[in-house]
Amino acid sequence: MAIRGHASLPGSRRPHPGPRLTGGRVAVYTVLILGALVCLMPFLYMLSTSLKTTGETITRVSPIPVDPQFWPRVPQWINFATAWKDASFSLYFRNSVITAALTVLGVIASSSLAAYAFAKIRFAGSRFLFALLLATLIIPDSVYLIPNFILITRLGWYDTLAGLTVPFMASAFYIFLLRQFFSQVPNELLESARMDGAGHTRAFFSILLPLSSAPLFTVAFLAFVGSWNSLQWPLVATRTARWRPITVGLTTFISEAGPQNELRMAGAVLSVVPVVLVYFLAQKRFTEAIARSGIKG
Amino acid sequence: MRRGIMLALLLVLPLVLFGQGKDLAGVDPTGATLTYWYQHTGANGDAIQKMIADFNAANPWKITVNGEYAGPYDQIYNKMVAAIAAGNPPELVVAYQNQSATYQVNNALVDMNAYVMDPKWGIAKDLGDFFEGFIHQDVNAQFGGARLGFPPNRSLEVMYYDMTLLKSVGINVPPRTWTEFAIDCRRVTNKDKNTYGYALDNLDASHVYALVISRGGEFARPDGKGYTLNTPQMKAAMLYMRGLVLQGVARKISKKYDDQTDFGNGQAAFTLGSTSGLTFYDKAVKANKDGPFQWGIAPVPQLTASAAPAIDLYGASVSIPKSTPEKQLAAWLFIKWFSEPQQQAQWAHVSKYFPVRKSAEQPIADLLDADPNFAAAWKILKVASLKSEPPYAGYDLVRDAITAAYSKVLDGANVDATLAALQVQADKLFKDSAP
Repeated sequence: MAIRGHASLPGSRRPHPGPRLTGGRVAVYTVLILGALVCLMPFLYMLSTSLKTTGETITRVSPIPVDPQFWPRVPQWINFATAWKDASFSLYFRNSVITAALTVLGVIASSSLAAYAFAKIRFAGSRFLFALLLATLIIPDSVYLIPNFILITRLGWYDTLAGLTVPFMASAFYIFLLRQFFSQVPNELLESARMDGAGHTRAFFSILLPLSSAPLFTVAFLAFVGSWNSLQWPLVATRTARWRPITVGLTTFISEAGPQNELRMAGAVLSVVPVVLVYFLAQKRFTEAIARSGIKG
Repeated sequence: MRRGIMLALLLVLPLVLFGQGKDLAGVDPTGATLTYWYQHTGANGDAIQKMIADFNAANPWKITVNGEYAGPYDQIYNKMVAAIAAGNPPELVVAYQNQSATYQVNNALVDMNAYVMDPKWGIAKDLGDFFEGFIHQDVNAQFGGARLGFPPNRSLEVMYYDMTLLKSVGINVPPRTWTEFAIDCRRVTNKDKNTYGYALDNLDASHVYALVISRGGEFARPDGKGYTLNTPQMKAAMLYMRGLVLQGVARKISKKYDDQTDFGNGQAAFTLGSTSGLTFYDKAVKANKDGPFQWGIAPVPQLTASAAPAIDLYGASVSIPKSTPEKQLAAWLFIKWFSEPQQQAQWAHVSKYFPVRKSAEQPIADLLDADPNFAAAWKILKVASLKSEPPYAGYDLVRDAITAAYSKVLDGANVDATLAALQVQADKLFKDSAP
């Protein structure tokens, strides 16, 4: 019996014909390509601006990549070295990596445990507590600024790594995200483990977590990006460059008179590289988790 | 966001701070250690650090200032709001007048009048050497005349003009009045060459302020008890600009600094902007694809030609948050040292900001010789009637409202109704933010 999509006769193997190119499919691809181009535009703008002179960032401006004005006359590769040096990027880069890594670890630990409790342990008031937790999502971040600052100051964490990471190691959104996924794991699976003598700890670490790599990657990725991109809190919570992240370095290219856009964009290119790398590493699991969680953009 | 933070400041934690009011004669600043939050980056950041090091090494009281980059202005503001609430602000902080007023709503700053006028530590005898508009800018009528900051430097709102473009249509001097300005805008506008008169940045309330003061108006009541936004001058300014836009001789700029783009490309004959942008304009002109053109700066046009044009001042001041009498005095001594002509000249050479003292002219003579546009701006500074925007708490939000109203009128909204609504909104914001 011939397998569908494969040649049935020996010696006459033909390439897979692929899906037929119907009019609808062409329309879909066209829309997707246009969408991809729109998404790509800011990156291209960032890249082209990072290669211009200061004068060109003011006079040689166009929003369309096919316009020669969009690109520099002569690429100024030196901008990357200047940005790296002028903004102390080597220190800030290291700080961002450490801060983001610690924040991700904290988020994964606290969110997964809390999500497990809400999804799989029955206790009095769990629904109310979960609703209360979700209610915190509507509070704007700026409202947390002063209480968080007072807290870290009283704990002696001002200008420390703890002050930059601990306040962001718990998140209602990540708990919600993981709880949604954990809820889909059949209770029978955990109950049978318990019948074999496994407690909650064992069930959590040996059964639930291995099944949850996709949502955990997603949470890790989102927490990483959130930490990597944060600016206001690191500026508020620090007084020296000791633990300041790369975003603070980018602000040094903005002065009262105006921005040095070529250096700012060169710095942005440098700072976005790790995020893109992390995304590509986690891309498959990230999309898988989004599909499973039922979250729509 | 800003509204949220300001409300948080107003509501969270009444301050229990100390200091102020003690007789300065018995205060000894020796050995004080201070933290100074500033916004300077790049060459300015390096220069301020060097100057701080010079002060630390040379001052006879062994005062130590630790200068810290605390982010751009808006981030410093957020940081200060949190620090005031937590009770640990720095001893010196850069702040715009409306920002210092917001801090003072919580009684967080020192009234520097006592220091300025103190017979031992003050500068009363030197006050005449300061540009009058500069030295009065931080005296806040909303707080009974308290001096909530002191100017380290200043810049001015001026008109940038493309002399090459003007000359190409037979104009040999930049316009001095709005009537001349409109005529010149019409003359340089050429659809075939894609040239036009004024690149109108409608995103900045400071430009509107410049238009209003040039017509004899003001944004604030002189008694510090509110805004004056629904005025004949405001109406005239907005209608005038709408007229230019409708005629196609002024074009609205929708992105910050894109007026510099059109200017640098030789398309726009005029822009309005701060003198702090001189270096950016210079680079823009030099990057012109057809080679650099002749350009210059002049006072913002006035209703009638004036030898003392009304000019808008730019620039943040340095404030002293309350701490101990010793630290407060030490902070003042640093500010006083920074305001001395030698330090002012040193700072001007790097930052290209204007010194706040007239006697700094001699030590910056080389700078004036080397840069004709800087020299032109200095000349304007010496004759201008210097004005500044309202130093009220909450003015940031009013600025946003002014910008929105300006845009609406330019887009055809009824000016009377728009200004009436703006006044109501500003009155409410004033009341909400008042001490």
